[in-house]
Amino acid sequence: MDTGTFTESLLKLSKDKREDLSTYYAGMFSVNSLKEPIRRKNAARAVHVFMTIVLNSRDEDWGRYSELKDIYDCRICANAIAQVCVKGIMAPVSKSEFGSDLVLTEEEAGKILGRLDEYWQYLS
Amino acid sequence: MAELKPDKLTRDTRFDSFEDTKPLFGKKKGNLPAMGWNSWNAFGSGNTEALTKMTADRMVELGLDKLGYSFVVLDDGCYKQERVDGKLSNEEVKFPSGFKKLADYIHKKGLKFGMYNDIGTNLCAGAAVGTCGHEADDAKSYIEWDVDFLKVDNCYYPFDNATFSDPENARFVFAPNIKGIKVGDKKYGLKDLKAKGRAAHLQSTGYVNGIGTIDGTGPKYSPTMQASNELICKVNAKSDTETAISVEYATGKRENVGEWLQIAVGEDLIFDGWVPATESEESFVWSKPLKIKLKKGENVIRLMNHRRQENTLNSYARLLKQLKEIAPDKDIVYSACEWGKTSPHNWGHKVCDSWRILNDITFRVGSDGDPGHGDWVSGYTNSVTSQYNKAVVMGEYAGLDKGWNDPDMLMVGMEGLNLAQNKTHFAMWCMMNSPLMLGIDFRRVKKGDDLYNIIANEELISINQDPLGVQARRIFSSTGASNPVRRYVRDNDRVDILVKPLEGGKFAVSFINLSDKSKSEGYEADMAYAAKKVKGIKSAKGYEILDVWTKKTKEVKALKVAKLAPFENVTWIVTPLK
Repeated sequence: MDTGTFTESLLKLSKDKREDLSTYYAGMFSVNSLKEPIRRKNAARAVHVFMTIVLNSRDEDWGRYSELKDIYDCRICANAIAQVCVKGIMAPVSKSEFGSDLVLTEEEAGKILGRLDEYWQYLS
Repeated sequence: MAELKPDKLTRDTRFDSFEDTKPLFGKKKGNLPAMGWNSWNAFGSGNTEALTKMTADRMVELGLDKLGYSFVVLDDGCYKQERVDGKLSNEEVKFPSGFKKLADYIHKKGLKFGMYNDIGTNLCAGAAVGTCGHEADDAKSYIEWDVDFLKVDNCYYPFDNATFSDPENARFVFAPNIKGIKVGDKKYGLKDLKAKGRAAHLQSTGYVNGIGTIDGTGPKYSPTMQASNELICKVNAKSDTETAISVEYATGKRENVGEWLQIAVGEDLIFDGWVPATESEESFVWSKPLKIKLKKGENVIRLMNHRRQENTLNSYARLLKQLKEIAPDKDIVYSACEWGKTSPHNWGHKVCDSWRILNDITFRVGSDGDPGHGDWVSGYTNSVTSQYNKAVVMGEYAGLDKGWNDPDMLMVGMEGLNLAQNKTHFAMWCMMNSPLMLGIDFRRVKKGDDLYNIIANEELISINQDPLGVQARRIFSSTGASNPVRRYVRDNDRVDILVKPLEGGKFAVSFINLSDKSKSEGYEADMAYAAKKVKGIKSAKGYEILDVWTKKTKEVKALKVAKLAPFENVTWIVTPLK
């Protein structure tokens, strides 16, 4: 799945917060990068921004996810990775690794959107 | 754009020149640690022109400019995602007036304007506007915008396996696996090749690797250990002679095993480049013979790869060179943000005013309405103590003629740190001559409140900005570490005592409890030891002490404290009594 398709799915989900979210995504992803396959670390970033802007969700302590060995490889993704894990929206690929550079599959993307929707309902 | 390649080295940019402290391209030395504000910890990528102007306004309203805070630095998130006609351009929603107008606004306030870029192809947040290959255009832009400070990062760097770079870029910065060499007709095997510097890795199947420079991004390695190594072979010649050298090697593309080899005879670098790739890391071949000259007697053949440090130095130097060509008399404070990856304390003095020593102090930066989160301890670099533990033993690399170790921007004011931790964090950074770059949303600060009283502590600022420019040294650690000045200690259940010489024969002393427990064993600064270990410190029969927190003065015979609360620091400016 490419980055543009994934972020568009999140924008559709965001309803009346679409414009705000879209501004954030425009600052995060260049036009060229939207055509690239979306890596899990960038999916985490996009989801984290969704949680912050659309769901007003507050960041939580990283807990055990601070021990993921690839979490610090991406300083701008690190907190996003921790938050999507803490909130159960995305899971690490193993006990010790998030799988930052792996490309997100369509199936995984579908599950993420489903979990976000459930989380939104839970917050409501 | 032409293909990006590492620079051919000049003598001045080679590893062998690191110990000569000569700066390049007329880089001005003698700057005290920078003081100011940086947008990253405060607002992350969400910084805007409006927030920056507000920051400048509040800095003046709070009188922080009178205390020495001068730089207002735009970190990542201010440029368009792509270049416009090859040039850097402002992100128009967040920075609608452009950078020159913003710089003018900041300058009219009596403050200085700073910006951010990266020696790689992209910035860390992804914008394709890194300076790599664009140094001339970018230098022109920065001079036109009247920039006073540049923080330059290291993401997407094409000549090393830096953050977001291709991991196979390690092939640039490590020598291949080596089994031996041939000089003329004589073979020299592993028993003849000795590691100089950090130990290389001897493999059980009969070869050596790990010839290069360690990655200093994480907290694992002591900064006072040798970061790099070479394989040395001493070859005797009966007379001055010309002969040939070959190397038995096998290449790889990962940390510890690369494809780039440097060969020197003494200080003469005779080869510096790629060797043809082999089928695998254990498929050894002999390199083509290379002509060398040997002198009568002992010759030291060096097999090495110092490119991790050299490439990065060269890349920072490229931008400096362009800035100096356009505006030779303008001094732009240059902050290298390569996270300690290449042990910049070895080379940073040649081009920069400060160098980061580790990865980031926090990965939970703030945003508009959110102060962000800082930790006191962590298992990685993201805490006050992780940064302090490394910086505190790096005093020997800092000074007015060199520059400053940078344990990252202050987290004072972030959630996660209590009052005692905030106070001690600030005191540590002041004692260690660190740059003092605040990351606070100043709308949360009022004159006289706790945050203000910390960041506006004049006595601590005077310690940091003392004209002698000497970083504090640790003279005691309650862990019992021998050689506390240089021993890298990561156990935070301890008390440290630091001393820092100040002008006029005074000095600062700081008793720091890093732990979450009260410590009541009683701690005394051993002034005889301090005088021996720290130039400019003298012991005396009595002292007048000024407590930087209580502002009280008294006379004492010895410098001691009975107890320290959790995370507490007691810091005094001391005048020895005659």
